[in-house]
Amino acid sequence: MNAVVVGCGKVGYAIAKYLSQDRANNVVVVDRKDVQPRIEESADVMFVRGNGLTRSALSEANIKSCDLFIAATNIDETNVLSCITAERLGAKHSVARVRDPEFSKELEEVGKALGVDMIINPDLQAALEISRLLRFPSATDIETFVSGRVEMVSFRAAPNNPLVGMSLGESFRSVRIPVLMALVERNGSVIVPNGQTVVEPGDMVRVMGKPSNISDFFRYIGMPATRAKDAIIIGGGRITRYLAAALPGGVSVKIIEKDIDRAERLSEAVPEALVIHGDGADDELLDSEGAGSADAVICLTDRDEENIVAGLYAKRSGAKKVILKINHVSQTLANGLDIGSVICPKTLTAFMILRYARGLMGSASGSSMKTLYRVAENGDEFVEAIEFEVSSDFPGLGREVRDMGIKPGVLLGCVVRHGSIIIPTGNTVIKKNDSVIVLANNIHLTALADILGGEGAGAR
Amino acid sequence: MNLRVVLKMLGNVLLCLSALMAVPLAVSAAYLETGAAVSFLAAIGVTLAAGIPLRLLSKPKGRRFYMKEGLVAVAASWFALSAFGALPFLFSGQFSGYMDCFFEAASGFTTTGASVLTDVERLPRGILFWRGFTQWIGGMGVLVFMLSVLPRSASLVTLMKAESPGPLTNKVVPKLRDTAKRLYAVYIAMSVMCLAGLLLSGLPPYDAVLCMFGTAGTGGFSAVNAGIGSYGSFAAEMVVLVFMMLFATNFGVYFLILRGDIVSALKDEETRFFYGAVLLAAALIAANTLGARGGSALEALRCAVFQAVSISSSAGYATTDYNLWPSFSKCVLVLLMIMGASAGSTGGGAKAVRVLTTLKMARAGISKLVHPGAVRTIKLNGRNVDNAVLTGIAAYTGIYAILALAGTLLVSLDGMDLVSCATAVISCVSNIGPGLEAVGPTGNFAAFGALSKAALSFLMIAGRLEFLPVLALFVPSIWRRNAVA
Repeated sequence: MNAVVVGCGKVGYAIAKYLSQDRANNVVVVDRKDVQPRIEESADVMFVRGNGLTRSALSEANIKSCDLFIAATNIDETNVLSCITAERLGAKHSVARVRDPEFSKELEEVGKALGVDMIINPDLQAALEISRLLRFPSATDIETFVSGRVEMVSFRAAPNNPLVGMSLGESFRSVRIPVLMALVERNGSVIVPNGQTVVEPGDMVRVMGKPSNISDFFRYIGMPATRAKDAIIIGGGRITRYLAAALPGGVSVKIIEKDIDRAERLSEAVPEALVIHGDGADDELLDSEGAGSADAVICLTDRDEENIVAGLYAKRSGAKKVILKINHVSQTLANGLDIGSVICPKTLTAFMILRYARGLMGSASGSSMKTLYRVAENGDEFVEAIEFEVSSDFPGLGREVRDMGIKPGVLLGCVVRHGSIIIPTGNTVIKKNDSVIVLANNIHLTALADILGGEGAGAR
Repeated sequence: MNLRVVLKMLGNVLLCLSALMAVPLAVSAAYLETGAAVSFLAAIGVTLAAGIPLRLLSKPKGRRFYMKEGLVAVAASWFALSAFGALPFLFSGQFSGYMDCFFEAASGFTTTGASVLTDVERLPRGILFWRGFTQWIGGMGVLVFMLSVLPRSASLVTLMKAESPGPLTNKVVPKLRDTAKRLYAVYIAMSVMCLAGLLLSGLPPYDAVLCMFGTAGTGGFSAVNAGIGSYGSFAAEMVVLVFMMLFATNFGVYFLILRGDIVSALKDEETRFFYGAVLLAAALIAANTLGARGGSALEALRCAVFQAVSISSSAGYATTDYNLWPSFSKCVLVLLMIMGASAGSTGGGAKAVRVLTTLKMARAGISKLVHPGAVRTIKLNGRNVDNAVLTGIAAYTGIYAILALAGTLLVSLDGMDLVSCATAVISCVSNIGPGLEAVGPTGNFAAFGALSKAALSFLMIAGRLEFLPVLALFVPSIWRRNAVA
């Protein structure tokens, strides 16, 4: 697929990098600043220097044969306008990044009317992700599939966790709750577990299954499965505004903001929250506002360092759940600090677009991709969780999983049929209209048929 | 620096080289030259013996190529190519000593075309073929070729940047591998056209192939002692003339044409400047030689145009002994040697775009004196040239001057006259081939001592890679694991 990315800031850079990792994608990056050495050294893309709004720069980027156009400059209006220009010049699909909370809703409608296929808002995505985590604070990450019917939830195994020291086969038999142990991350490397894998303290374990079963499972291993009732948000930026709007009623929210003007505007926009003017990195303020006893402390300032420091302090003083936003710091590093959940808006956005791109590529081959999450990443290695809807032309229809010849590196996670969830075994049969969730290790799947073609069996 | 990843790349290069040596081996076999065939077999054996362990035993910890690794890998590859590419010459017994063989191989790969041989016609045809083939390989670059076959890795773009001539190297399509493939596709297509032209103009097939190698790579090795003038074919001379110019043109222009953007192709500033400079030089020489010597005006023009094109394209073919020309014409030729061809072509020299940009910088500097408040940006094809690129061009100019002066000093130890020494060095740094006086079109480099040949070989490789990769080898910090500078 030919993709053109306009704007090589944080988001554009991440999108270009992830898209170009797939051999089948040809990516051209357009930016007014000369970022050529930086982008070309780390991603196999072509760089065009120029204004993404102009015909000359776009035609140099070969816009005529462009399948997916992504506008990710830091100006909302430019993004929408350049999507329109690109579509006029021949781009087949377009995605615009729009961030401003004041008019992102209106703009979405305007964009749709003008033929922009997707409006993406990194800050809104981050806020939605945080509000999901607040419903299930024990989880470090939550990914949802099949419109919420299946969840994949990760937790860090503490030394007193009953699963530690047990092989997964044993724990499955003793727990007796139908959830699938999908992945284990240990010291930055990813293990696709089998029955013999033993959970060690400090491992990040991902389980997949029905939300109610996952709640049961968390109760069984001694982690609370109740939602957060009060939250302290440090930093009153865009994500905070979206988050305040997205939180369900009954959650009491305190917002700490350093800038008095911003704090006043915030109290106007979010009347139900208590806005406090003060420095979120000030430990006395955090103590007096009860950060140590809060259900959740969410660090959303513009500075990664402040978020990490405030998060660390909140965690030390006893906050039950800490969520921090990072923009520049390596996500692997931030996860390794073990403070809490780490939210990175640029990667969230990049993966939403990646999912869209992959969906476009797979749409020709029938089975359609519904969701995609990159659940682990380390250098060039990655694991993705992808949901497909099975169409009638899937070559593995009607065959048992063990006879399908699923590629090594692919794990069949879950099958959803008529709303009920099947954890597949060797003799499970995949039928038309099933939703299938697969985990793929270092393989770029675009269609469900891509999982076939190997000798190894993917299911247990 | 990650030395293992460099060694592995070096192993790849040697394996690639041994595969390339199979071509002249087949030629030797076809001409039933047992001696030459044996030397190729032996050379392939030695190259494999060095390449396979490097390829298999280097287990790099990370596969990532940073700029450092890229620079060192490119420089080391080119020295290794010349060192191992010299083996068939050595085993054939036609050369006196390994240094001569190394010089000849370096001259071939860097597409210089300077030779230590006085009589090329007594060489076995297989060996002569290899000598020509090295120029064709070196023209577009070995690493660029490898990039078109190796599995992709984004960071390998540093290899292409270090090997491709010119201050600005751009991809023509998003994927590095596809870019390398397209470069070679254009190179091969143009080579085939050149070969067809030479065959049509009546050259024997073997000579046509060798002549094509010299023209396409802009090396200028000839298959006959008397050079291409001795074929007596005006048509062949014209084919060589046209293709020397085409191969000395920035290949970026051809991609513009292939994309249908003829307007931008015709407006390309570097190409206009290059063609203009060559035509001006030819006109000056023609006027100068016409007054100085007898002969018809047409003859003078024909020689002047051919020589100007041949020297500036860095091929270095000669149809006339320009040593007999008046000083002014010779001086013009030396200036053309320094400028050389366009960036992104197979030719050598400082490149037209650097000369053009330097002139623009000079103009901006003068204008700044007159209007101290003037804001001047240096533009190329309507776009600002980045300051980093300008600094790079200034650095290139400085390094060129320093290396040329130091080289002349070293070579003058052999006691030859100053013009021969200086033009030999300039000719090698710019990858032209012949110089003036003793190293002129009828002379050769045999008279130089081993030290001079080593120095000149080094300058050829340094010049082909535009200095920085080779000089990087001498920066101590590049060899340290956690270097600061």
